[in-house]
Amino acid sequence: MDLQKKMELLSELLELEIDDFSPETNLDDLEEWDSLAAISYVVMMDEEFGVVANPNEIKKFKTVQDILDTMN
Amino acid sequence: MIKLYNQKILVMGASGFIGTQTAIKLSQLGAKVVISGRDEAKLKKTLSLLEGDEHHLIPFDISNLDKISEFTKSVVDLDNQKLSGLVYCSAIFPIRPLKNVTHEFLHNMMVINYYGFVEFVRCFSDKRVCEKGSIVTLSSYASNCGDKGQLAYSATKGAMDSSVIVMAKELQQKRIRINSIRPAALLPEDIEFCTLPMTIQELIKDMGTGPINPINIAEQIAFLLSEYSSGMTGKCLDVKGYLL
Repeated sequence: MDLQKKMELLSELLELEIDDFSPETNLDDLEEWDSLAAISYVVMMDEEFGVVANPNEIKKFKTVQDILDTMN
Repeated sequence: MIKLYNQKILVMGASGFIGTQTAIKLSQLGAKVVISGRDEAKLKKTLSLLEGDEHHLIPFDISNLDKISEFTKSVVDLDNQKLSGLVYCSAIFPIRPLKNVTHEFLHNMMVINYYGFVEFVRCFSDKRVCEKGSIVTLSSYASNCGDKGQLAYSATKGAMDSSVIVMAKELQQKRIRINSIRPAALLPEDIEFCTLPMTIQELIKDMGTGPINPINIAEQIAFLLSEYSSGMTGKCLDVKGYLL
C-alpha cells in the first residue's frame, strides 16, 4: 500500500483532511488521537491489513510516522 | 443448600469462564448438565471438570439461528428427559467506538448476544422441550451503564434486559421463570488487573469489593434456577458491589 493510500486511511481514522497532518506530526499535537481513535486504529489494522494490533505498541506511538510504519 | 437433583439444565456458552463455572456449580448441586458452545476443545475441558457422569456435550454455533429449534429438541432426545433450566452465557464483546459501529457489526453482535438469546428462549419454552422451569441469562452492567466503545454490546444487553420483562409475563402461564444477572466488572483468571483498561480498573475500585468472582455468579445462577427463587421472575439482578 502506498503512502497516499495510508494517509487517506489515517485521514478517515482521525477525521482530518490529509493536509491537516503529515508523517512528522507529533501525536500529542493531534487532539483527534485519543483512546477511541486508538481503538479505531485497532479495527482498521484488522480490517485493512489482517493484523492484530498490540496495545503496548500503540502506547509507544509518538508521531504519525510511527503509525504509518505499522501499516503493512 | 440449593439442590438441583435430576434437573436437566442446558448451559449455552459453557466454554467461557462464567459458563464453565456455572456448569461446574450446577453439576455439584446434582443437575444433569448439557453444555454447549462453539469451541469443542474447551467444552471437553469443561466436561472433564463436572461432578458426576450424567452430563453431555453438544457443540453448537449460535449464529446458526435457524438450527436452534432442532438443537433444543436434540438436547431433549439425548435421554428423553425434558429440560428444566436454561442458562444463556453466550456473548461476544468486541469494543468499538461509534465511528466503527457499522450496521453489519451491530447486526453480528445482535445475532449472538440477542437474536440467539430470544430464539433459545422461544424454543426452550416449547412444551415439548420444557414444561416447567427457569431461565437465567447473563446480562451486563453495560446494559444501562455502558462505557465508551461499548455501544453495540450495551445495546444487545439492554435489548436482553427489556425482553426479560416481556418474556416473564408471557411465560408465566407456562410455569417458566426468567431472570437476568447484570455483573459489573469480572476478572478472568488469565488477565491481570493492571492490564485492564483504566475505566474498568476505576469501576472495580468503585465497587469496593474487588472484581466479581465468576464462582459467585455461578452460585447466583444456581439460586435463580432453583426453587429457592420461586416467585422471582422478570428481574434483572445487579451484582456490582457497593456501586450504588
